[in-house]
Amino acid sequence: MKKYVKYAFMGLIFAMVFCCIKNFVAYRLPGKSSGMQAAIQEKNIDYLFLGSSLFRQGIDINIALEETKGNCFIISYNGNQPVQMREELAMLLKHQVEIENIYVDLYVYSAALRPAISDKRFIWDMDTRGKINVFSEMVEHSEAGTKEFVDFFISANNEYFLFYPIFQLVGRNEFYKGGNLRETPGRTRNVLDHLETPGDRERIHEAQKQALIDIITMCKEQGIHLTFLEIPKYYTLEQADYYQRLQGELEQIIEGQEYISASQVGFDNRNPENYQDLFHLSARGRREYTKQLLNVELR
Amino acid sequence: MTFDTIRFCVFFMMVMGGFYLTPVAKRKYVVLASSVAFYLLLDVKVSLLGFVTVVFTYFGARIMERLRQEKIIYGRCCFWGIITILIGILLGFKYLNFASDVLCQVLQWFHLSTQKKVFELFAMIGLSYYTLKAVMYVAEVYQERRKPEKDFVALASYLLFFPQIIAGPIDPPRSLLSQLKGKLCYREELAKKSLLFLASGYMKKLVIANMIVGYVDCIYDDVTAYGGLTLLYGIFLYSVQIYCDFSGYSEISIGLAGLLGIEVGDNFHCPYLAADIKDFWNRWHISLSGFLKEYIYIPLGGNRKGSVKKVRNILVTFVISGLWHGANYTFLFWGFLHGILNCLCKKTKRQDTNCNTFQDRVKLFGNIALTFVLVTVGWVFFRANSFQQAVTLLYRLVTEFSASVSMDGVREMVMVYTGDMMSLSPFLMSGCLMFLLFVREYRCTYGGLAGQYDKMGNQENMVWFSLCIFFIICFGNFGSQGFIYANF
Repeated sequence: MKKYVKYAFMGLIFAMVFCCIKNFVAYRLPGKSSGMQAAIQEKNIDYLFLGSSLFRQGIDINIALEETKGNCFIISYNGNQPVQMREELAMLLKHQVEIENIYVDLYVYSAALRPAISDKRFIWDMDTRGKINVFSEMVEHSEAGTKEFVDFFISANNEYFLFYPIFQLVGRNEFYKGGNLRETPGRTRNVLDHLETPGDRERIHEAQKQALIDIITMCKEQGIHLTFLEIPKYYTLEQADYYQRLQGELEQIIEGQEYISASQVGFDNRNPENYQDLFHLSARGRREYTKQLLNVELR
Repeated sequence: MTFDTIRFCVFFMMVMGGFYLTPVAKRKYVVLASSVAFYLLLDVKVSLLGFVTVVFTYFGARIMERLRQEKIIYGRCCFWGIITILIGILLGFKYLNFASDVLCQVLQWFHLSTQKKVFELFAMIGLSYYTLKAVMYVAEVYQERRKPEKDFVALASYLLFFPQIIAGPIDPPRSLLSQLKGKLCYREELAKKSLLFLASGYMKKLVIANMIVGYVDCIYDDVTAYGGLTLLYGIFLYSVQIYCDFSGYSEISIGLAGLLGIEVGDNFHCPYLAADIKDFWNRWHISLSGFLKEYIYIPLGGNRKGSVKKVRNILVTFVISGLWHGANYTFLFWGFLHGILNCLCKKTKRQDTNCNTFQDRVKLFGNIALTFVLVTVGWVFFRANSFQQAVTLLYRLVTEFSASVSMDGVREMVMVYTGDMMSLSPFLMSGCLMFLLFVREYRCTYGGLAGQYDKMGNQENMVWFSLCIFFIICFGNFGSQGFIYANF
C-alpha cells in the first residue's frame, strides 16, 4: 500500500504544480495576438473595443485601423459581462496602458445574467487579482461553490496551457490586434428566419448594473473617452419585446453617456448575408458595419 | 446521483466507513442498506420496483423449488411464470413507449387515430440490470445449479448491489451471491487492484468521454451541417466515447466493489483491439454477452443443429441484444448488423501475443483496423437519433468525403465544438489521451503487460495509476454528463 500512496501522491503533486504554474505564470506567456495580454503589450491604444464575441465578429480590425489612422484593439470574450469588463479595464489601467477612446459593448444577454464565466480564455488572460475579484462576484451573486472553484482555478485552460506553443503557431494567425480575420460566411434567409430567438431574461442583473456604473466612473477618473455601443442583431431578435425592454433598461443605466445604438448606424440588419446567426455578423457584415460605424463616429 | 459526482464520493466514503466499522459477519447488512440508500437517492419509484422484484424473486424461487419437489411440471410452469412476469415488467417499462409509437404509426396509416401517444411510461434506471440478475438466479435454481436462497439479505444485496445498478456488469449469482453470503473481509491485493481500476475508470469517463461528448453531440445534432471529414471524425469519436464511458463505468463499478472486499468479473477487455467481430464480442460488455450466450443462444440450439439454425440463432441473439439496448429501429438494426457480421466472420485462430514477425504484426493491425471500422459503422446506428439520420450520415460521409479533404475541411473538423481555433487545444488533448489509451491497451493485450494489466506492483501500472490521478484532477469534467449505458 505504501507504494500505492507514493504514486497517488506523485500524481496529486504533479497536478497541483501544473495548476499553480498555470494560474500564476501562464497569463504572462508571450506571443499573443488577442486578449488582455496582447492589449497590455500594445501600451498605447487610441481606440479600444471592449466587449463580447459580438465585437470580435462585428468590428473589422483592418478597416478600423485604416479609417481611424490610430492604434485600435479589440478585447472580446464570449459572453463577456460588464462585471468582467470592469476587471479587464482595471487590469489594463493597472498595467499603465494608455487608452484614449473606449467602446464598451452594451449587450443585453450578458448584462441580464448573474456573474458567470462563459469564456475560459478570460480566466487564462486575467492576473491573479482579477481572477479572485471575478470569482468573489460569482460567490456573492451566483452562489458559486466548490465545483465553480475547481472549474475556475484547477480545470480551466489546462489543455490550452499544455498545447500553448502549438496553439500559438497555428491559432495566432486567426487574429490581429484582437480582431477576427476569418472569412465567416453569411446564412440564407430561410436559415436565419427559422432560428429560435433565445428565451426571455427577466431584467438587468444588479451586479452588472453596478459594473457598468463602475466602468463609467473609472473612465471619468482616467480621462478616457467612453462610448457604449450596441452591435446590430438580426431583425427578428431586435424586434422581440423582451430584447427591446432589456435594451431600454440598459440605456437608462448609462443615461448621460455617449451611446451608439444599432439603429443609428443605418446597418441593414435584414440582409441574411450580413449574419452568421441571430447575434453575430458575417465577414461581409463585419466590414460593412465597421465602415458605417466609423462614418458615424468620425464624422 | 451518479458515480462521477462529488456527492457520490461522499456517499461512498460513508459506506466504506460503515462497512469496515461493522463486524465481518454483518457487513452484508451494510451492503444492503447502502444499496437501498443509493436507490432512494436515485429515485423512489425505481427503488419501489426494485424491492418488489427482490421480494418476488426470493419467494418465487422458493415456491418454484417446493412445487418442483411435488411434481416437475409444476416447477416448470412456475419457472416460466416467474420469468414471464420478470421479463414482462422489463418489457413493459422499456418497450411500451416504443410499442405505442409503432401502434400510432400503424393507426395513422389507416387514418384511425392521430393521437401522439397511447401510453407513456417513465424510464426505470437499473431495471434491465437487476431483472437480468433475477432471471439468472431463478434459472440457476431451476437448473438445480444452486439451492433457493434462504438468506433474504444476501439475495437482496446481490440483486440491488449498488456499484452495479446503473449500468452493470451483470454478474451471475454463482460468483457474486456466493461472495455476499460469505465473509466480506478487506483484501489488500483486491483493494490495490480496485484502486487501479477506479483511477483508470474515472480517467476514461471524466477525462476522455466527457471531453469528446460535446463534439459528438454537435455532429449528431445536425449531420447535414458538416463535411465528410468532420463526420468521419465525429463517428470515430463516438466509438471512443461509448467505450470510455461504458468501460470507464464498469471499471469504477469493479473498483468500488473491490474496496468492499467483493470481486466482480471484468466487463471489457480492450475490445477495439479485437482481431475480428467474434473476438470483439468476447471483449465488449462481457457480462451481457455471457448472459445472451447462456440464456438465449445455447437454449435456442447454439451451433449444434446445422449451419442454417446456427445462423438463425446468432441473428436472433443479436437482434435481442439490440432490442435490449433500447426500443428503436436503430438498435434493432445495430443488433442485426452485428448478427450478420458474426455469421460472416470465419472461425479464425485467436490472435495471441506471439506476433513475432513483421508480417504477423501487419496482418494483426489490418484485422484490428477492419474490425474497428465495422464496429464504428455499427455505432452510427446505435447513436443516431433515427434510422434515417444514420443513413444520411453514412451517405454524406461517402459522397462528400473527397470534397472535404482540404485545409478548410480540416479547419471545420477541428472547430466543430467551440467554433474557433480555441478548439485546437481540446482537439489535440483528446487526440493525445486517445493515443495514450491505445498504447496502454495495446500493451495490455499484445505487449509486455499482457496478463498483468491489473497487477498493482507492476511499475508500468503504477505510472499509469499516477498519470490517471493527474489527468483526473487537471482535465476531469465532473458531474456534467450521465453514463450512456444508464439509459439501457
